[in-house]
Amino acid sequence: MSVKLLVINGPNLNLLGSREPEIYGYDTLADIEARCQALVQGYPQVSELTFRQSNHEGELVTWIQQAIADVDGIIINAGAYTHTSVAIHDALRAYAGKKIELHISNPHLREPFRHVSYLAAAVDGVIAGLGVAGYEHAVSIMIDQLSEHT
Amino acid sequence: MKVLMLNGPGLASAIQQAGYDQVSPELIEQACIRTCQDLALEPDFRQSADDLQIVQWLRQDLASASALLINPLSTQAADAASYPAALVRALDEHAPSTLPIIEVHLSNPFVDAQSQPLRPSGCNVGLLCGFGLQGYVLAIQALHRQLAASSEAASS
Repeated sequence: MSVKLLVINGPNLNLLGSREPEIYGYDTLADIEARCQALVQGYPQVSELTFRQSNHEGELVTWIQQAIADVDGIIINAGAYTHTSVAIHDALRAYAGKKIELHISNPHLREPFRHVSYLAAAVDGVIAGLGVAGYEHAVSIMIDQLSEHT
Repeated sequence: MKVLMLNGPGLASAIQQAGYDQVSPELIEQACIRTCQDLALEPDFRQSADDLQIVQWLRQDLASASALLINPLSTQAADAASYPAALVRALDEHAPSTLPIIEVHLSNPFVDAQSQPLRPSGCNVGLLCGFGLQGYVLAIQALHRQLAASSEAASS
């Protein structure tokens, strides 16, 4: 068994560590990726963990489409596109692998315009409000869930 | 450090509806207790068919808990809509703002808008939805990590 995972990050997540650290913490996306890469070293079944970030909605859609061919699971933190993007919803619907929607904070505890997610109905599970540790938690449960079904 | 784990009405039927044939409330409880023990946490796993009992437990027992895991589920009672509001009120009145809290749902409630997540105003709540029994195990691991981080911050 060889598992390929993709972690997709949306707009403004390139600013992690400096943007509103009281909400998002002081870790950069590179710090988070390094911890996730270290985590998957403990899982020999994982052959690849790829981290991507873009501020452009269409690029996120393209990455999901490209993943259809050979990625087993997608973890997506679509940032603010969560609350607006029918296009990302549709791309996720077209992707048959495991899908987790991830947020650093819990959007349901924030402004009302963050209470609706266009992605949540198109994914298998949702993780929110666990801080940046949520990335590692998402990777480990993704691996557990993929192992359960293979 | 005690982890209070509360399960609302209808856990067995929720498991069935979610299609987890290999899972039962007893298996969830056993997995939670084992996970807590592995992490040197004291488990306090509870389940009630009475939604008022869940609210009462929050009122009475949050003060002595170090962390809270809650699967609110939903009640069939006539005043079902008042249950989530009562949970939120109990959290706002009795949960310290620093208490690690994670809301767990076996399935993804957003697929058919079965229920809205809890929205207390005075405390943070983590959300883990759609991972079945593994979601409970992960929630306890995440609560443990939050407790470890806050005790590290307090001692530095």
